[in-house]
Amino acid sequence: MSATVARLGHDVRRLLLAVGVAAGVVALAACGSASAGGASERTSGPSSGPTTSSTVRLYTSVTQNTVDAVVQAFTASHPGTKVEVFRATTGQLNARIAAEQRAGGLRADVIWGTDPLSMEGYASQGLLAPWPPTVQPPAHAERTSTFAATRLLFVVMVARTDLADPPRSWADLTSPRLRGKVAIPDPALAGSALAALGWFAQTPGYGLDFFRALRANGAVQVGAVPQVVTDVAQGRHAVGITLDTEVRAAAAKGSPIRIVWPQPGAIMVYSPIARTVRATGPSADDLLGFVLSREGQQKIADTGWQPVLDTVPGPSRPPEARTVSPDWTALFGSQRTLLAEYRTIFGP
Amino acid sequence: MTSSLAATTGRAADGRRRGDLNQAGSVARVLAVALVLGAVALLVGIPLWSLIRVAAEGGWVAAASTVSASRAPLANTLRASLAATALAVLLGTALAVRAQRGTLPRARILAPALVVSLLCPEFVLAVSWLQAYGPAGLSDAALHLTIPGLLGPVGIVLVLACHAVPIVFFMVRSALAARREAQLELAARASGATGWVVFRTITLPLVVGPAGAAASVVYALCVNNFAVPEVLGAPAGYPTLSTTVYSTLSLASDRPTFVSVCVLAAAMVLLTIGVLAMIDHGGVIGSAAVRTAPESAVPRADRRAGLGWSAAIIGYVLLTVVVPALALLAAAVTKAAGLAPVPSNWTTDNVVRALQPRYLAALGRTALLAAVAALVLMALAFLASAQTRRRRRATLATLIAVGLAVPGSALAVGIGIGYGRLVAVGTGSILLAYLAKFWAIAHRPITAALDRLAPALGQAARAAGATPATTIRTVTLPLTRAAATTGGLMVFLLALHEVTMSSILYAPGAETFAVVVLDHQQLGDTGVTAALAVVLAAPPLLVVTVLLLLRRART
Repeated sequence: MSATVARLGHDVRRLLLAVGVAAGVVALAACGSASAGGASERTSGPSSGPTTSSTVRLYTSVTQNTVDAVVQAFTASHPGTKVEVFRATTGQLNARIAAEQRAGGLRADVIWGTDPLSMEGYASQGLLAPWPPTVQPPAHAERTSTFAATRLLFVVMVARTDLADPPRSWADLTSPRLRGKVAIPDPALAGSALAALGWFAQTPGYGLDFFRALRANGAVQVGAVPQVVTDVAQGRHAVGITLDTEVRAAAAKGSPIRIVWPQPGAIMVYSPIARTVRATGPSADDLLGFVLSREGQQKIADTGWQPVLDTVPGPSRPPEARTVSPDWTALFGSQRTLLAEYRTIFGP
Repeated sequence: MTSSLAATTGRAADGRRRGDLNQAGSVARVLAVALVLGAVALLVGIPLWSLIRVAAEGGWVAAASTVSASRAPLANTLRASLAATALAVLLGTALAVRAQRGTLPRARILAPALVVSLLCPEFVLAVSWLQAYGPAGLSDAALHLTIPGLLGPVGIVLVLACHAVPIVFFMVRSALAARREAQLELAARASGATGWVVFRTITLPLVVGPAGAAASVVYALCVNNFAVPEVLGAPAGYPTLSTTVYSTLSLASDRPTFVSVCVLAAAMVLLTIGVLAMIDHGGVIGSAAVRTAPESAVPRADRRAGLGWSAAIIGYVLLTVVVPALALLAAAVTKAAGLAPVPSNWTTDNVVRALQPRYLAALGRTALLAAVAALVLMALAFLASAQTRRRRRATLATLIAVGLAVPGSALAVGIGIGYGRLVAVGTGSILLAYLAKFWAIAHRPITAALDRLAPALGQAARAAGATPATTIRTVTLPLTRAAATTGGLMVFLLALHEVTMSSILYAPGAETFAVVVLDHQQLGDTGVTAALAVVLAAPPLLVVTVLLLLRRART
């Protein structure tokens, strides 16, 4: 009996030891995040816990290379300030923000988005603080009471270089000679595509009938904006609707594509930045000010985007290139309805 | 008289010892049950409860309306997942049974090829097929041949099924390896049974357990797959629940949107668990009437009769592994999208950029996380599989599969809400997410293998005085090692490739490798994305190659 009990004790000890080892490994892996954080270019601070007054936590959907360039320059010019960056697609950013709101509150100090429609969504939930009076955006730049434009994105057409008679206007995309040759991005996945949908819907002569005509002409909705460029470059489609920067980057590497600046104009979308209600101390304002400064704007231009500051030149545009812009105020809050109508055309 | 007394005393002592051992076994089982139930509550219960609470915020009418508005994605998901599962299970099981019997020609090519196919990350899988067989793809450029319907449901089913065949193959094969009891089929044929009778009475019972376990894993993975329907379904206007969840999340982070996402996630859980519960309680868990013939029992004529199989396997490997892998490699070494993959357009830039130290650090971090997840889940899987009552085991299997059924983005949100105040976002929460998501992947192969073990082996060991721990160590573990290794390796690979949960939960500065890939995908950088996928596949490929070479050298 005593031998059995001793054996049982031995078994239980081994079981507990195994569980302890497993728990130790888990704890070790969990601790790894903090130490790994310091090794990354994205941050020089701890990866979790409350931030100090000299730490700014930035949530962004802006492309990685642009965020890296701006944050690196900012930390170089503000040695006492650390920036922790969480970068994800708009959908994943939304998921994280929604989860955080239900688990102790938003943990970001600054949000830098890709389009004003998503940002307005954060503002309407009361997540954004009033724009700090100490930071002055360029006079002509788009802004609201909580966020301001940092860079401009142009929704243009991409065409294959071997396309004999490329389209010149948006309306040309519905012409029979481009039947079955047009790719468009999914507005549910890309803020810029949603903004373009908004401009077409608002503009007389286009409206949602434009999308009906596109569908009738065999246009295909692919995934996100870069997918349009890849599809056209690889020859699955001859023309597409996408962003100028994407085309410029692919063409520079040798893809057989080019930008078409359509009539009556490329659709201009701005990428806004805002301070959240959680931000305390001056560091968040410093980051906002830096992004809108000449140096920050230059970094934005260096990574292929059009800065909002006039004195910083962006990527070159042909003289005939014109731009148009949606009525943002009218669009705010109507995304859901607009998308639902669009889905009756390009939906299941 | 003295010897008779001694014998009686000895028997009495043996009886007491067996009683004590049974008592010890019961205590260990109770402890194991408590541990498993605790883990189920922590890993599955809390995140799921968080989601259900959010989903219920809008009320049942709103929830019903959300589900009703998503009827088309719901039906598409169900159709595509069932079709892909059926295809994968039929093909994978047939290959596994023949391979296990030693009657599969070209088995030496097939197994490594299937490993390579598993190494291709899910997020570049559809793109590599598109570049291989789509319009303007490799086959189109070389032979003017494309797969009709690749962009649409046919393509989704085909790619999902081909990706799942290796999972079925390795799961079924490892389960069959747990027991080698010979010659029933041969004896039946010798006794005059027809091929159909042999199949119905011997072969089918042989595979139903392992194939059912594989089917449940594959079905859950198909329901949750995002990248394949996103790339191949969007151009054809074929949304699934996973793509709908993602596009809904992209629209806003406000309360109504978030509630809709949680409702859709709950619908996905029901869609998966409904089917899994039918499989689990329909006799798959606990079915033990399985036998297979050893290699020596296979007649030579049967080995030679496989010319058709041989051609089919070479064709299958070429079409589903070699050509898509070549398309991926071509993209990794070509300067830009749209350029022909000829030497004049080759570059090493993409690979050099993929190998920068920051990305390699992310790869190391991801590999460590995946390895820890695999080890912990293998231990948990053994504990959960050790339940003796069939009904309890089936219920536990279904419960554990809930984590696999929840879409990645929703599970990440559930963990964020459930543990947001306790576990800081970052590696700790990602590990929790991996454990919750992939537990079923480790659990099902082990359960299937344990079901095949002859109960007499364990009983004999116990009767001979072995403790439960000794029985497990000397009898159970050696016979289920192949299944445990299969489950562990699958968890490791799936965790290595996981992107949806990691990209929501990673801590600033501690991104996983898949998040790095996603960054480049978003930039439209097809070359670097392909090179990163190759870099991701390289370390496990190297390990598998070394293991195969060692095994070959030993045999």
